[in-house]
Amino acid sequence: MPRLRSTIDVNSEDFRRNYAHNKNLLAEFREKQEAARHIRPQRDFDRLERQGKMLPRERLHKLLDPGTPFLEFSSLAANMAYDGDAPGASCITGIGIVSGREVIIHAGDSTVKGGAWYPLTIKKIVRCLDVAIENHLPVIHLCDSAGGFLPLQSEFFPDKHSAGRIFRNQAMLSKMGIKQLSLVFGHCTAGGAYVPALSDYNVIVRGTGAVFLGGPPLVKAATGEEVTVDELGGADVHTSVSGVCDYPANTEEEAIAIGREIVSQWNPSAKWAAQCDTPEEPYYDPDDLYGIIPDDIKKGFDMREVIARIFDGSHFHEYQPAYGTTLICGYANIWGYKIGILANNGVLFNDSALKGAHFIELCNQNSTPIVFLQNITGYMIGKEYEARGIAKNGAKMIMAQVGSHVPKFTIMCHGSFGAGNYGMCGRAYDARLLFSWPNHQIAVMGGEQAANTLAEVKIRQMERNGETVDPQLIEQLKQDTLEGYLEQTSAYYSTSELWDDGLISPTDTRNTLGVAISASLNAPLGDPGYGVYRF
Amino acid sequence: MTSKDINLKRVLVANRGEIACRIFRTVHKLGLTAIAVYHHEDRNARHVEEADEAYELTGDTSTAAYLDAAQIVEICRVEKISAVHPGYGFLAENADFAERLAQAGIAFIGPEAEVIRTMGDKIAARAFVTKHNVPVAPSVTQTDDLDAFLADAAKLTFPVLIKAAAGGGGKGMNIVRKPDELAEQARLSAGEAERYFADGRIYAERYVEQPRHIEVQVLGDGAGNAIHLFERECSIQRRFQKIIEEAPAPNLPKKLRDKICATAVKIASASKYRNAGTVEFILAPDGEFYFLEMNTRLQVEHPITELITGIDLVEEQLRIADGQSLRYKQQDIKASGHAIECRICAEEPDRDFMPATGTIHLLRAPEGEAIRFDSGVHEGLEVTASFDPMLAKLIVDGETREQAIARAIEALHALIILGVESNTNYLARVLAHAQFAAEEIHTGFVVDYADDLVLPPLDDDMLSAVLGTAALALPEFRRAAFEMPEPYASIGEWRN
Amino acid sequence: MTMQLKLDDGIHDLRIVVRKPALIASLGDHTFELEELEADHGPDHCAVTLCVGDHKVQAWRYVDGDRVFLHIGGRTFTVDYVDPVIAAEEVGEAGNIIKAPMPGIVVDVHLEAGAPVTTGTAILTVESMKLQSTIIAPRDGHVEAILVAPGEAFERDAVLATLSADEETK
Repeated sequence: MPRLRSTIDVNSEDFRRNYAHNKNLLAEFREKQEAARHIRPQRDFDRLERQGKMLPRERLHKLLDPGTPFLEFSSLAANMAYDGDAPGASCITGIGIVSGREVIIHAGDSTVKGGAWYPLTIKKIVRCLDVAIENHLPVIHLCDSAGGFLPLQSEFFPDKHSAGRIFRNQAMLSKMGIKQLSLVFGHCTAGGAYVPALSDYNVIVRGTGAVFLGGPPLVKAATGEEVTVDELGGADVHTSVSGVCDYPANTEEEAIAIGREIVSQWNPSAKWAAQCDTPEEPYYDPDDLYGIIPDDIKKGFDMREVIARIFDGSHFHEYQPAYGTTLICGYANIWGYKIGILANNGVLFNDSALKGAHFIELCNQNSTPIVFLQNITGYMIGKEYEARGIAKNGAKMIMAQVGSHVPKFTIMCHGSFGAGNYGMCGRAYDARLLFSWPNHQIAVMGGEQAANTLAEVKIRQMERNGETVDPQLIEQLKQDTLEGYLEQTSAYYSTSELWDDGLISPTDTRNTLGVAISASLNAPLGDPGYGVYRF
Repeated sequence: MTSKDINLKRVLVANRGEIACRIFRTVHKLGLTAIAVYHHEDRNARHVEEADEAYELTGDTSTAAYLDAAQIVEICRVEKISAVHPGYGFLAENADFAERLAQAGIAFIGPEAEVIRTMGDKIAARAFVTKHNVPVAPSVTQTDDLDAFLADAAKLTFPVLIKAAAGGGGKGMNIVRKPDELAEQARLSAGEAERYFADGRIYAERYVEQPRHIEVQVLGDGAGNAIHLFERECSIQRRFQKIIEEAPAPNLPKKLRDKICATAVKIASASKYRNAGTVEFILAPDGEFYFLEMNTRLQVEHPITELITGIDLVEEQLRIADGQSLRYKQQDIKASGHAIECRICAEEPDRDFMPATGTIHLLRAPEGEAIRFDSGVHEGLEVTASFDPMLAKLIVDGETREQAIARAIEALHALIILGVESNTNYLARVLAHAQFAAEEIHTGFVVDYADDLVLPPLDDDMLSAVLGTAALALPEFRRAAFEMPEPYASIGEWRN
Repeated sequence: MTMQLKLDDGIHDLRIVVRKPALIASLGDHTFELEELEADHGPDHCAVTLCVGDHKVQAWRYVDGDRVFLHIGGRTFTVDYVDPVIAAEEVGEAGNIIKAPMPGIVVDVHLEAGAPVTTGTAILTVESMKLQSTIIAPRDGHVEAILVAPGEAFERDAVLATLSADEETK
């Protein structure tokens, strides 16, 4: 495979300006991440210490195999919700390696309101269980949660993807033969009790671990019975009387050690044999990415420069290099795995859309996982393009993409606007995992376009009603729209709402995809098949 | 050399361990038959393996078995043994044993029973040498009455050393610094003497501060002819047990050396000493020396004398026991070079010399022309608390003391014993001490310099080397390190 | 997960940082490369040459189950693999087990199983080298079992007796 030839001048003024801009974004991202992960009021740390509990990330550290990665999902979930009261949406999820097996980890974060479940907590847990289902990954639950955050019950209880979905997903996993282990470190109250109850293996820590549908206060209120936490749902009750849990542990360390032992008993799942070569570092320095990504969402850049800094040896086999050039298609390897890439290099035209649909079919034919690198302003509009059927061409791309039986992965490299988001495997399109860069912006259209569109609509409406158009009013409308957009199009808003599986730094993209692809191979390839293409 | 000139054809060694193996070496060299006795616990021991014939001793404990004179004499009678070498320890200084063998017409490779009774008993020996104008340290002999003993001992100048009358090897020995500690220490010593030697008699003597322990190797023909094979310096001791010996003694003026050696010969000669023996002296810093005791047997540290004189002491013992006259005159004995013996013991010097036990999984002795390794142990041997902790002796020689020290340190570092803790590294630390090189030694050396002799702590590099090397041998670590698939093996501990 | 190794009385946490292209491990803040260059293997021992950090290390090694004996640079070391589950169990049982501080022989047994003890109660007298020492109860409770008899020899760390917790008064 030929090596891409970079034309970037790292000494150019553009490069240096972009570099400074993006490094600032990175610093801001890391700062928010650090705060979400580790900054808590002292009293929360004190409480855990009093209870003799480890911090959730300490547990994680001890659980994972040494010297292996942990691909954390949505570290900034809920960062713009609940006045910032639920950093990380009070849980930690991700893919890690335990006893040599790839597993999904779901850990309650009891440093946040005792691990209370907010609506976005539920969304994050449900999402990680979806990932488990889609990729056939066993799940380890590190249970330590006070239960649902009652003031917001209407937002997390009743709907299809509300709390019930957690347990539905657990049951579904079990039905699929995918194993689950719960390590009960703290309380599992009410619905939370179902997490261990629906797991195949449970370890519970003496003294601090407890599982019950109704805690002592609720029991007292309901029946007048006075009972201690330990008598009601402690380790000994559940491992020797009720059978809700399997292994008692004297300490959290022991619970983790037993958990690791249990996982080591599991038969490692047979992955499907994806095409794989010897891994090779990119020839070009990934750090250059910070100078390549523009400091302005409106500025374009050559996505080949990005490809050259993520994939093995900077090698790239480009498909149809001269056709539909606004969509780059081709094969590369990442951590040895053969993948197909679709990367935006401008607005999607009819030919780019057709090329994309065709290339997706080629990848499926070759059982090659697909990576979408999004920087899309949308499909070309206008009379000429509509006449040439841009709508049905875009639909073909969606059809091919949705019909894919190979795993898909999406990286939001920059902008994601309009229907291009759909064709390029946006959140609704079941990418096995979807990550965004901190510079990412997303909206149905750009902020300025939206402001202008809304202003245009308003002017026409006023004119129709015979009103005089007040330019000041129009300007105000534009400004308000823009401001609202500015907040909601940002990557932080996007990741707060779990429109992605987390923000990653551009230089982490390579490892992220490596873990994601490796994990995806646990699920067997589905049956190929497509819907009806409109030709 | 053939056996033709020795009539004692079948030589039994009533001992175990390294000394049995060492004696067998000479027995074989002379073309004689080497015969071992052993307790069930020792059935796989090296001395059994190296013997031509081996006979099992029964006994509740192995120690009891090797001390069972009647049983051994009976084996000798049945198996037509010509001579018995008792080694050291066990029955080596047991006059009754020597007597019984003599009565059975079997040669005891050692002195006459009577001489053992006199010279092997510390109290009797002191009386004997005093008669011959040899100085002894002021002392009190135990009477039957412990209270009387205590009253007399309290009159000595303190500190006072209490010892078992019948024993050696530091058992039953205690320093008493204040009169009010005397009663308790005396009882402790007596109890221990009773347990180890079945003889609770003890005696007390003035304890010389910063003394040196100098001993002289002698050979006598039993008719009053005796020669010496120079002295050995045995001052490096822990808990009154020698751990490093050297010959010749460093920092010993020729005149004093001659005087000490002549005194030893005088004692051997006066006692009509037969066979090999050792006269031990305490040498005070002012050059005064006192008779300490006589060991009527082959000493643990005899090899250093062999190295500097070139004489095989066991061969001389066999010849004397065979009734031959001394082969050497005093002027024939020449010493050259310097020899050092290190006693390799199963113990933890850095935990107050606590005895160590375990299985010797791996044993690699250093090799070289200047190195002699007298060992009674082998791989697979289980070292228990029931025997003396000495596993082996590492003996080196050199042209100079400096060279011998350097070689000894190198050899100690090259001695590999895995499975049982040993004092190997500690001995190297003692030898490497500046005061040792400066010849400033005395019996309190390891206590005085204890702080310098502490095991240095491991730095990060060394700790990584130790734990890394260990980890690479553990299946848990190897699995974790080498069975991780890509891309995880290469990505490592990465967090996004 | 961290591999715990016991050397003398210290527990050390050894972590793998990355495995390829070279195995990098860490002990606390100290990170180093680890590579076995040569090994002259016997059935369960070997003379190994390793690269640890920037240093070449020559070692003799014998493996006995979870225990590794080493000879490096004239010193010997005994390193024990601390099985995490067993270690955690022992944490839970600590205080229930009375271990021998050194090898020795039992001189006297003062109590029988079932006897109540308070912290400091003499349970056994043992002798090692020239020292007699008393083994005392580390906490209040009852003697669950005495596992040795007078005259019996034991190794270091041998369990001599066990205690059971007092029934909680309700």
